[in-house]
Amino acid sequence: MASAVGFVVVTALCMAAPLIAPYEFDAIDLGSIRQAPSWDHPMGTDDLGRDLFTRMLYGGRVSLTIGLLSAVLGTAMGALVGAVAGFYGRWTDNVLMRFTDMAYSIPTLPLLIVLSAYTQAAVVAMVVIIGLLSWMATARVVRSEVLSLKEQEFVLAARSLGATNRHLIVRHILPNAVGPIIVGATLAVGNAIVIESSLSFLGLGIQPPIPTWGNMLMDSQATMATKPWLTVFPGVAILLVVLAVNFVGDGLHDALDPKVRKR
Amino acid sequence: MTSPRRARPVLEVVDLMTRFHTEQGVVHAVNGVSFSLTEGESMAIVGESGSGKSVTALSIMGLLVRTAGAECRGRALLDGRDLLALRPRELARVRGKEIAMIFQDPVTSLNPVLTVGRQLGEAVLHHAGASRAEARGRSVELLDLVGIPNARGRLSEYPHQFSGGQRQRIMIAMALALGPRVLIADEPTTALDVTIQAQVVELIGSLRQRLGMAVLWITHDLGLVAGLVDTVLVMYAGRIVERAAVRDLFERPLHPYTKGLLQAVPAWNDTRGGRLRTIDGRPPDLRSAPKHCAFAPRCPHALDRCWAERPPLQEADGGRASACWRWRELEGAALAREPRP
Repeated sequence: MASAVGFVVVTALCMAAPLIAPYEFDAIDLGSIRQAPSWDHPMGTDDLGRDLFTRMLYGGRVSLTIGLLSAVLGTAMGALVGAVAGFYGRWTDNVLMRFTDMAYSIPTLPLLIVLSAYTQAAVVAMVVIIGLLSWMATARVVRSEVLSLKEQEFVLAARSLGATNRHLIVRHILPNAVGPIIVGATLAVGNAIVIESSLSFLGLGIQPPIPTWGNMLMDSQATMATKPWLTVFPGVAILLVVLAVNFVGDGLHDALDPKVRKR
Repeated sequence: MTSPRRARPVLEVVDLMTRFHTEQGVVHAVNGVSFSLTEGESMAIVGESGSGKSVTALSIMGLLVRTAGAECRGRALLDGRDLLALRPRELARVRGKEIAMIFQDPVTSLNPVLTVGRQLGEAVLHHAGASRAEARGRSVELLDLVGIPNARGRLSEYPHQFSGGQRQRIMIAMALALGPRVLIADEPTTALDVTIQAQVVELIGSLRQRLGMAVLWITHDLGLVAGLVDTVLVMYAGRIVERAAVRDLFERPLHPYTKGLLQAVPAWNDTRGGRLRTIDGRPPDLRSAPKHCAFAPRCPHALDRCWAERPPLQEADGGRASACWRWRELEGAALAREPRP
């Protein structure tokens, strides 16, 4: 619960960045570079004198947008593939699941590096790339849910009243699998944020001057020992957000699974 | 007990055969079932578990085709249109609208995560192309029809907020949403309390008369529907072994299996405390398809002929039919219980 609140607050702050940020995210002030946190600059300034707090907010906006959107994309894809595979079974299932296994076995990071070399490293491209690489787990979970759900009597009953396959999947089966889907989605958010950070850290994600938590981390590595705040703030932000999202996922899992009884 | 003279068949099943291809071999669940249901008629298929009565119903509805290994042959003509030959999309259009089915267990037959109003309105919304408001209004009407009080207020509730009997009423309401001409009721009361059973059965019976639809009951409890059906089909090992008007069947069964079934029903006024009569032996394994009469191993009257040749369903007097070589003797009640060979 606390995680959910924290996550929402952080998200809200970041989304409202233009309203609350004290400076422009790319306002260079060479008179005040690498300052320690102070009243003027709550998180200090970086190599070019840019306000770190401002950049944290804007960076979070990018990181969270990528995290949320790619999680939505990945989950939607996963749910679709899983539902179709589980529902139709037989060769459809076989083809889709072997494809899923294949997608799973591709090492993520090298592929991401290659892909981002070919794309312009824009937000949209990042969302699509990360989304396309994170649907497999959801697909498997949803498939196994659907396998058991489709044998339920209410599916037969709905069919006997004239429901078409599409209708059965969308209206009857997926709503029953919404628990695991939402849980998967929240976990995917954390995962996507980490992937984006790693890419940015490698210099392959969103390019400066647009800040993300990942590229802020990278920029700060040279001065990590002497100016720790440049590293600590984005690092801790990533850690806390991912942790919060994962806790939310766990909480949702418990709340949505009727088999886990509250004590 | 008016014999249906309106003789226009609304559902005609011709030589229906259903097999399941399993890893343990082919299961011959339904082996050439034919019958016809006239408009507004009430008919029951009776038989013990595994006699193929439910599979017959599912085959007619085309609900087996998709599951792995099921194979249906024959024809099921609804107004002359063969349900077994329809493509899935056409079949979906017919189901619910012209032929509907209710199932044994109302607890699992309703989707637990959708409100009752939504499930009720669904059919109207999709088949009849009604608006949301119309669908809602129709749902209220339907709940009223099946006797659920405060229908409007309860539309937004979920299935678990209703009792078992109410849930079966909701299932009935869903099945009736589009005014089907044929309703198949597959043991609609097995999962309910005895007191509720009678209510639900009577509800279906009275709705049949009000809406003028034909009802095909699938049941193992002949007593439950005896007062509500015109014709009874008795099934054994995937075949119809006897067809008769309900009164004739009770008075003078023309098949030893039917006779055994009727004797196995405990009489409420039996004060002698005698042992319940049962049919000896067990139902046959449907994986083998014997050439002889399937009931012969359990039949007290079996002759050599029964072991050599399977009796077909033969027309008898009064529009009845029996699949026993010795039905004439049974009719004359000349067959005493013979000692088993």
